[in-house]
Order: sequence, then structure tokens, then C-alpha cells
Amino acid sequence: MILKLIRRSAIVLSGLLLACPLWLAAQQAERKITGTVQDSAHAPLSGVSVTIVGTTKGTTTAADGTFSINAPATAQLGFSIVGFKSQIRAVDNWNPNVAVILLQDPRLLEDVVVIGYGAVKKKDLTGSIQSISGNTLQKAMTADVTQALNGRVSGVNVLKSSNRPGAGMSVQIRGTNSFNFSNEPLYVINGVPSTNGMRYLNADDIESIDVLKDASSSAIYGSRGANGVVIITTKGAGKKDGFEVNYNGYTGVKTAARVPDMIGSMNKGLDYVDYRVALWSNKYGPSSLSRPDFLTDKEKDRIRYGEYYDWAREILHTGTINSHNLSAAGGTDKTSYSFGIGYFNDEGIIGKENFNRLTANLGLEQRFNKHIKTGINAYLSKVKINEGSAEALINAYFLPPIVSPFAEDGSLLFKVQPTSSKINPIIDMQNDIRERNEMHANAAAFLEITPVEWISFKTQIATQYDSYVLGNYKGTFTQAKAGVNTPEASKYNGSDFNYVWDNILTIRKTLATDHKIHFIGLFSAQKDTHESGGMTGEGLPYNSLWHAIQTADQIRNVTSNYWESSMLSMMGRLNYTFKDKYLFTVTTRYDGSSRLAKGNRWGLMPSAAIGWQVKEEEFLKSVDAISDLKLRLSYGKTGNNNVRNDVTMTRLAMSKYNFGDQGVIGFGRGAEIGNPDLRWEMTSELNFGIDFGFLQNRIKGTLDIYNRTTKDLIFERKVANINGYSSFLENVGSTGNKGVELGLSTINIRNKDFSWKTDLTFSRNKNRIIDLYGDKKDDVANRWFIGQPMRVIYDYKFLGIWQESEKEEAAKYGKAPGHIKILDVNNDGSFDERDMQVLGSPNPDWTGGITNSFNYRNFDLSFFVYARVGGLYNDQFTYMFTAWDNEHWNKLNVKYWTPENKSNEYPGVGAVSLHTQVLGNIRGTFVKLQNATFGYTLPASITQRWRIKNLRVYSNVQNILTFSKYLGSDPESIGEDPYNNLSIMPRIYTLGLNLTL
Amino acid sequence: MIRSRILLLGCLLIGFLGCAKKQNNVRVLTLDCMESKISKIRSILDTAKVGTDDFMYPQQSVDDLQKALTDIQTGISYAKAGRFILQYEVDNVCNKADQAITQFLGSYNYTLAPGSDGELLVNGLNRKGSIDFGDRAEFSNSNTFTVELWVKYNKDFLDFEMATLIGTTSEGPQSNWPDNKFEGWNIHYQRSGNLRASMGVGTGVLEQAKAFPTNYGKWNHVALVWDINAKAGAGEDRPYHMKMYVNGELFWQKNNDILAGGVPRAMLPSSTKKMRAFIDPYHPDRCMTGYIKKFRLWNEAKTPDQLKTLMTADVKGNESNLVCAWDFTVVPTDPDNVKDKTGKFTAKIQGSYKWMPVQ
Repeated sequence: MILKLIRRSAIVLSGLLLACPLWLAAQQAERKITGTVQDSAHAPLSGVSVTIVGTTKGTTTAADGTFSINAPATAQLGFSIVGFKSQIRAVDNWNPNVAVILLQDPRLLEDVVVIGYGAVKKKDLTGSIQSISGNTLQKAMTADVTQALNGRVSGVNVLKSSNRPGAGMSVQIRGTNSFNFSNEPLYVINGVPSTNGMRYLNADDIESIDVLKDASSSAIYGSRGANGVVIITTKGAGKKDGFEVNYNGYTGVKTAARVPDMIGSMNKGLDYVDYRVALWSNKYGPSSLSRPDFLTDKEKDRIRYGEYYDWAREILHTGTINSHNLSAAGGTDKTSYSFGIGYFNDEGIIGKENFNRLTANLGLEQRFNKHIKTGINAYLSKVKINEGSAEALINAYFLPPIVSPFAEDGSLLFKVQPTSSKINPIIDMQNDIRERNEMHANAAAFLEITPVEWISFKTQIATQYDSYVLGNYKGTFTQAKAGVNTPEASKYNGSDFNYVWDNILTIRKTLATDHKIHFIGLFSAQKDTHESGGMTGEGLPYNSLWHAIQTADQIRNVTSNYWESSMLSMMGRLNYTFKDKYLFTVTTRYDGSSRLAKGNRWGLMPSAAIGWQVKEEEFLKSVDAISDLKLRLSYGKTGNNNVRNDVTMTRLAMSKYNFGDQGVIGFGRGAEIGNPDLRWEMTSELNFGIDFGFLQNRIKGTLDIYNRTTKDLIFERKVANINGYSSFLENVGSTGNKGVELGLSTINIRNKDFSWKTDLTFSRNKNRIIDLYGDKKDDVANRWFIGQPMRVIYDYKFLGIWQESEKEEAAKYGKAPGHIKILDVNNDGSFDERDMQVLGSPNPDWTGGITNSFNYRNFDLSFFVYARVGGLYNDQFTYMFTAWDNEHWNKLNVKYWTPENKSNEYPGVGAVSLHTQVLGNIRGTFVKLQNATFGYTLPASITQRWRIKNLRVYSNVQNILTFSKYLGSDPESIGEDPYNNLSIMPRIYTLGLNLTL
Repeated sequence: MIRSRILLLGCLLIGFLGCAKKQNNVRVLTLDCMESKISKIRSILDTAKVGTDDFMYPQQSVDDLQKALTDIQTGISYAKAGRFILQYEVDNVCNKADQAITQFLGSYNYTLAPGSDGELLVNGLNRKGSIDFGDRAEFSNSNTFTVELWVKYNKDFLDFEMATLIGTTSEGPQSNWPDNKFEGWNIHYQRSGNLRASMGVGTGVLEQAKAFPTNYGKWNHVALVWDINAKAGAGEDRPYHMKMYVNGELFWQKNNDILAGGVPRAMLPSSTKKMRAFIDPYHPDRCMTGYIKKFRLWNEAKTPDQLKTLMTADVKGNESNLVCAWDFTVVPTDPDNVKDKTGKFTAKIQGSYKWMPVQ
């Protein structure tokens, strides 16, 4: 029995001895762990960091929340993502079918907001700052990231000059302040202040854009912050462990989304002939119809055989759009690095229009120890824009459908209409070449020392180099040269080089638990230099574009310029938080700029803000429905130094002196005398804001109300020329902006398989002139009126069209039925400037954007709607093509008045009405379904077989639907310059791919 | 069976689309007006007395009307043969027929001997007749002047968008000549029913208009007064630099709101200095038919009272500030050399015109 027991024990022991190493080996061996991470509503969470605790090994969850990682059986996995409580789970007993649920921490709003020279947690923010992530910018799929701000950041109004690829955009944050100088915000790209916009940046390279809207926030940039500040942070080196490669790209086609309806378009040529008969009969009398130039024989033949040309569509073609971006990032405990390259090409849909951009970025960070780190960021961008022909599109609108682009032998005609000066736009497109080549380089290097945990000192030198070459060639066979004059070419080039040396002291300290201090001190030096020059050559012997201007018969407009300016700044910003409830921020910046004269160079721009985290109060802590509630109040002063570099100086001007019979070119005092007493245009702003969140932050948002006043506006004052000069600049005048902004995000539905989120913005701004010259009087000549917006439409009030029943009344005003009827304000029986009035302003009453995002399992769908409501605009396109009655050109197909067709909107054809300019004053309201994306993320179970971390395919359509009464192509670019950048709104269809290895 | 039905449906569809396209290019023409013109011309030709005596029609006029008749008949042939595809082509033929009839009916012989009292009818329509006052600097070089004349017209006295009664205004900026300036002055009628004047002030034209008198067949005295130094009158808040009077009464007035350096722009003296009546000096389509009686140009701004006096007064030619004056009240010996009362200028009555007995 005992022996039996011993034998059994020996067997078991032997087994145990044998099994132990196997068990130990099994314990050490890695196993593949797969799983899903979800939030409390079982919606998949993407981007969750999954790490093996105690190691640097990790991965992130895909869009569908899935992940896969090889981990030892004894390991623990850590799951973390901003806004959720982290969680640690043991690999032991891992069940891949049970999802990891991360709980949202509504009070842990750890979103970080860049505030300039540093960042703060959103919950500690006291100013009005809105962030937009790189991810959102990518999804917007706009060629210029500037446009993506429209409707996605409240208070920002982006104005498109045109839909031509690469066309310029201007940005207004909370309205405009200055009459004579720029109202563009300051752009800070990786720490370097710039005024060159964001067109050259690749959305894929941007980590985030933070828009500083109120004066308290932008005061950190002092004399440059009056128009708001846009801080762009590109993707630099982070602390990513391991190595990751990303490819984001798409390819697509562009077609015309909205072609203005001209008379006789779409093969309805007889409609145009009817119009022409009416025009000539009414304008020149019925006998004019027998004039040989009424219709040429060839035109009659085309009518006979139904040969019509839809000119606007004749010159359109399908363009392509391509974007490809490859980036890689990785690192270790000590070193992080990232680099990427990007290619973007946007073909226009007319002629040679094109926008091409190549970008490259590099980030490197070395952490020597916990006290010292250093790094560099570099960003390179090369942009080439072909602006296309200036007048091809407007010619296409002018030319009627009975005119052919072809000669009898099938070749292209240059002069398509013997009776008109308009030439064939197809030929014009080939010979009118306008290119812009840009190079942008941004580089920054820093050294950061952290002697103790709560103090750090960072010194950074950053440079920004921007250069451009503008080339313009107009061949003989263009509208401008009429097929007769010799070619002309011009070339203008310029470059700006800025460097900034920032020295930043940061102190973060918590005292006695309740007192948190965050101080930033800055000493900064900046120098900007600018060089530019150019010339125009007329009478070129051959097509050498702008590369051989010296061969021209005549060279004119020769310019060369240089200026430099420098700035020294000291800034301090103190954030103090008491018990996480009461927030105080004080900022003071002291700027000295060489742009002003001694004595006025230095300016102090202070600001202060307070915040109250109401949710932290005992009485609200227990109210579950309210997840977050913070009140903010701020006041600050900022300046606008975006003035010319020589405003304080009197310039010399070329002048001719006579000595006896001979004239000698010399220099004399210019017409404008400098004013050394000029000061900054100063803006002060009061902002009240509420940040709120309800129902576990399923509804959260921000509401801001502001009142901004700008004083000491620099105006040009005219004086009698007897003094030897005709004007000088001085600080007078004041403007104001009041408004309200709302940003709202809601999670409407969230469950295991399906989620629906909505992001909404609303902005309303009211701009007004407070004073002009210190006497509270209007300046009618410049259309500036006290109490009215800075830009107004000042004109006669359009009442409609005089009808037959009003013949007698119309005759008193020298009008007839079919003529435009305007308001006789003073009722004196005639019309002059006393009958003009402020009719409106080219500023919208409000703007808004709404993004709806849906996720169903691995599918995602989102669409973005943008609305601009109100505003009265003067649109030359509408005016020209509804008012002009040129006997050989075409017009818009609208309801023109006839005795039978009693239109009250447009005058009779050929009525020769006066005051037709009122037709160009149009409302600018529109609603656009601007963007829709449908995507599918491959399940991790498939992608991991291919060693792919994430793979998503998607399709996108832009400019899907537009609701507007605008007769032109795109109400968003209303007011396009018809002779330079008239454009057609494109509809863009793309297919894209996001790949992470 | 199904396939054949589909084919049939396809054929019908193609046929329908083909028809629809063809329909788009074809309009049904109405030839009634041509038929009626033929009847009317035949009737006129059948009853017209042809000869060289007064109130008889010259053979040339008969030939012209006969040609018009042939043109209508050709037009009907064209229309029926499908060479006319739009109604306006038919209407053109009818309009021309109307013009030929009007021209024929007005072409009867009537001769007033030189030295006889008469009323001058200038057939300016279709550029047929006009008065050329010559090309002189004096007609348009003052910024204080008055133009006054008597004019009479019948219905349908113009058939273009506008018709110059008298003026010197030059061509303004053109696409090929962007540096051109608006110069000189002009009094004209508009098809829309207005009597208008315009003043070329370089970059633009100052103009004002009001419905013209429709007392057809009656004389009207029209005066244009321009005064760059005008001051605001009693009860007025601004000066009125340009005024028009009809039959001695203020017709309209206009403040010069085209400014240069904050002050009203002056009229630019016409560099080419043409002055014409019944046709525009630079746009010959702007022509009209009418009578003219007395025309005077003064280098001063006449007051309303002075104008009322001038309406009934004669001038001798030696009055101060009188630039030129013509009385077209007596049949001249040489219509190519009609001297003005100052003796400094000569007018030429050219093209189609007729001296009619005083009514």
C-alpha cells in the first residue's frame, strides 16, 4: 500500500517536474490577444492605446474598436484614451468575445488646448479658443485647410475669392476691425508668426488648429492679436513607441456642380434668337432687324440647322484630383521621430487651371534625461498654381449659342463673332497663362531644460521662409491683346524671411492641494525681411512666357522693394486655479516694434479672465444630468501692427525738375506725409462664455458672447495740396463688433452597433462704425456711416419694375414700363444721391455648420451642411448678365419684364433702363450640402492577418447640393472679379484609402 | 414577340426624340402682313399721279416702291421655300414695305423758291438727312453755356434707342480706346419716351431725362443750360449745374454729382468739335426726323426769364456771349452754305430734307 502510494507520488511528482518547465514555458510564451474596446454604450472606441503594462510594447484600436497584440500570458494590458478612465486587464483568462468597456469621465475633460507658448487643459481654459483636429481637417478634404474652418469653427468666416484651384481665401474672426489695413488673423505655424495663410499646408500634416478668438486669449500675441490668432501645430515627433507607417490618399474627378443658366443654353438656341429679336426691336426699333449685323448669314444657317453652342459647357472639362500622403512615426524612451511626404494635385475644370502642392515634414525629439530635451521640426512646401485664363469664362458667358468656335474647315476661330469684340475663349485659355510658384519652409529647433519638476525653460529659434514668383503671359491671341497686339509678359517675385527667438519660462506648481499655478514668461525677438521686384515686358518676339522679358520691345512697371522690421516682446501669463473651481488668468504683453516711430514703439497689452467651474460646487456635484458647467468672463486689449512698414515716414517719390529747357528726374516728397505720432490700432474685447455638458456629456457645448471695440484706427486724411502733400495718416476712428457664437456636440444615438453624433456651430456678428474722424460724422464719399457696418451697399432702393398701369407715374421720372423702379426717398420727382440709402451689408446675419456622423459596425457615414444666411452683396456677374443689353452678347435666363409677362424683378429686354446697378445688389443666403463621406473599415480579424493595423476605404462627394437664389455658380464666392477669377463651382467625387501599418 | 415590341418602342422613342429636336428648330410663320402690304402697295401704285409737277410723285419714287413690292413677293417665295425660318424675317420685309410706303407718300413734289418763308423738315431717319454745323472749337469749349432751339416732330420720329436732336458729345472710352474721354454736350430723345441731355465730363456722362412732350406736329422750344459755377438757389440745398427748359418752363434740373477732388467735374471741351442736328456726331444710328426753326448757342447760362424772352425774340448776331445762331425760317439759296447770324459759321443741310410751307 505504502509502495503503491510512493509509486503514485513519484509518478505525480515526476509529472509535475516534467510539467513545470512546460508550464513555465507556457507562462513565458506569448499568445495572440484580440479584442474590442467600447465605451459604456458599447460604441467602438478607436485610437485607444493598448499597452503591455511595464513594457514599451503596444498598439492602438482600429476604427471598429478592435485590436490585436502578442502578449505573455502573465501580462497585463493597459487601455487608455483621453476623456475616459484608464483600465488594466490581465491577459490570463482573456475572453476575446467580451469587450473592454472604458468609462467616460465627464469631469476629466483632459482635452488639451493650445493657447500660444504652451497648452492648458480645456477645463482650465478661461478664454474663447476653439480647436479643430487634424482628423477633422482631413475629413473636410478641402485643398486649402482654411476653407475647412467655415462652419466648423464658430466665429470664423472664410471668404473664397473664387473656385479656381488654389484661389486665395481671406479669414475674418469675429468680423472686421480695420479700414485701411489687414483684417486677417495672425497665423502661428509651429511657433512662427506669419501672414501668409495656410494654403501651402497639407491637412494630413496638421495635428491641430487652435483659433484664439477673444482678446484675452489673443493678447498673448499682443500687438498682432487684434484680428484673432490661428495656431497651427503640425505633426511633430511624439512619444510613440514602436514604429507606425500611415498612408492616406484619395483620387477623384471634378465636374461642374452649378453652371449659370444663360439664355439658349442646353440646346435651346431658339430662346436666344427670340431674346435677340426682342432686344433689337425694343432697343433699336423693328427696322434694325434688317441690319446685316443683326444676324450674320452663318448665324442664320446655324439657326436653320439647329447648330447651337452652350459656351460655358463647351469650355468645361472633367478634372482630376489626387492626394497621396505617406508618413511614419516612431520612437523609444529617449528618441521620437516622424517624417512624411505629401502630394496634392487639383486640376481645374476650365483650361489649364491647376493647383499642385508637394510637402515634406520632419520631427525629431531627443530626451537626454528627465531634465533636458531638444528637438527640431521642419516643414517644406512647394506650391504651383496655374490660375488659368482671366477672361475665358466670362467670354463663354457673353457668347451666344448661335456663335460657333469653329471655322468651316474645322479649325478653331479666334474671332468667333464679327460683330463683337469677344474672342474665342478656347483659344484665350491657351494663350493667357498665369502661374504662381511658391516655396515655403518652416523650421524650428528647441532646447528645454526642466531643472525641477515644476519649472521648465525652453528656448526656441524658429524661421519661416516664404517665396513666390508670379508669372503672367498674354499672347497675341487673347482677349486682352485682341489678336492684334504683341504679347506681353510680367514677372514678379518676392520673399519673406522671418526668424523668431522665443525664450519661455514655464512654472506649474500645486500649492497646498488647492492652489494651482501655471505661469508662462516670455522674452521674444523677431525680425522680418521682405524683398520683391518685377517688371512687365510688352512686345515679346516669341512665346518665352516670362523667362525672357529682356527681349521685349518695351519694359515697364519695373519695381524693386525691400523692407525689414523687428519686434521685441516680453510677455507674462499667469493661470491660477483655486480648488479646481475658480480660475484666474492674467496676461500682459509688452511689444516694441520698429514699424512705429520712437516714443510710440512700445505698447502694453493686458488682459484678464476669470472662470468658475460651477459643476465643482457641492450644490451641483450631485446633479447627474449636468456633467459640466463653467462660466467664463474675460477682457483684454490687443493691437494691430499689420500696417505698412513706412507709415510713420514720408516717402520720396520720383519727380521731374526743370532746369532751363531740360527736365531732370529726381526725387521729391511724396503725396502722403508720414506721421511719427501714429500708434497701434488697439482693440479691446469683453467676452462672456459658458461651457456646458449634459447627460454624461452626450450634449456638450460652448456659448460665447462678445463685444469688441477697436480704437485709434489709422485713417488717411486728405488735405489741400498747397502744403506740398495731399494726405497724411492719423489715429482716428473707432469700430465695433458684437456677436454670439455657439458650438454644440451631441451623441444622439450610441449603442453597440450604431452611433449618431452631431456637431453644430452657429455664429452671428454685428459690425459697426462708432466714429470716423472724431466728429461722429459720416463719410459719404467712402460709404462710411456711423452706426453702420464698415462695408455697406449704399444705393437706390430697388422697388421693382414700372408696369403698364403705372405709365403716367413712371413718365414723371423719365421712366417707362419695363424700366427699373427705385425709391424717390425725398419725393422730389428726380433721382440723385439724396435718394441713396444704406441697403445692407455684405456680412451674413449668421452662419452655421452641422456635421452628422453615423457609424454602423464597420461602416461610417458623415455629411456636412454649411449655411450662410443674410447679407447684401454687390455681385458684378449678376449685374452684368441681367442688366447689360449688348446687342451681340448673351444674358442670364431670368424672367425679364414684358407687357404680358409682368415680372417685377428684371427690366424689359432692350428697355434701356437707368439705375440698372441695383440689379447687382443681391442677397447672399445659401445652404450647402458641402461634403458627404461613406467609409468602411476592414475588421481587425482580416487586417491583422495581413499585418495591417488599420485599413479604411471611403468615398466622398463635395458640393453635392446648393440651395440659393444666386444666379452665378457659387454663392459662397459671390462677388468674384468677373474679369480675373470668375469660376464654376466643382462637384468632386473621390475614392480614398487610410492605411496604417 | 417581346423583342419586337421593345424594338418598336425604341423606334418610337427615337422617332419622338428626333421629332422633338426638329420641332425645336422650326417655327410656324405667319405671312399675312406680307400679303396685306402687297395689296396696299398695288393700290398706291394704281392711284398715284406720276410727274414733275407739285403734288405729283417722281418716277424715282415709283421705281423705289415697285422695288419694295418685288422684295415682298420675293419674301413670300423665300418663306414658302423655307429660307425664312423665323417670324422676324417676315416682319422685316413688312417693316421695309412700311418704310417704303411712308417714304413714297412723303416724296411728292413740292418746291419753295429760295428766299421764301418755309419750315425745314429734315428726314433724318435711317441717316438720310441732317444738318452739319461744322467742326469748330467754339461749339463746345465753355462750361457756362445755353443751347436753345425750336423743334417739331411727328409720331414715330425715331426708331433707334435714342436720337440726337443736336449735340457735340464724342465717343467715350471703348475697349480698344480706353483712354477716350466723354466730351461735349448732347440733347436727344429716347425710344422709351424721354427727352434727355448729357454732358461729357471725362470719366463719365452726367445725364438727366424726362418724358418728352407728345404734342406731335406742334413746335416746342427746348433749352439746355449748363453752368459749372451754379449756386444753390433759394430753398435749394445744392446747386443745379444742368437744367432743361421746355417752352420756357423748367423741365428738369440736375446737380453735378460726378466729382473730382471733391468738386464737380467740368464738361470736357470736345477735342473733335463736331456739331450736328438730327444725327449724332459719332453714332449715326442715333438719328431722327423733324423740323427745326431757330437755333442759338450762348456762352452764358440764361435765366428762366431770359429764356422766355428769347422764345419770342430774334437775335441780330452781335449780342454779347452769342456763339452762333441760325434761323431756319427762309429757304436758303445754297443749302450747303447757310451762314449763321454772327457771320462766323456755316451750316450744311444735307441728305433728305424738304422746305415746307409755314403752317
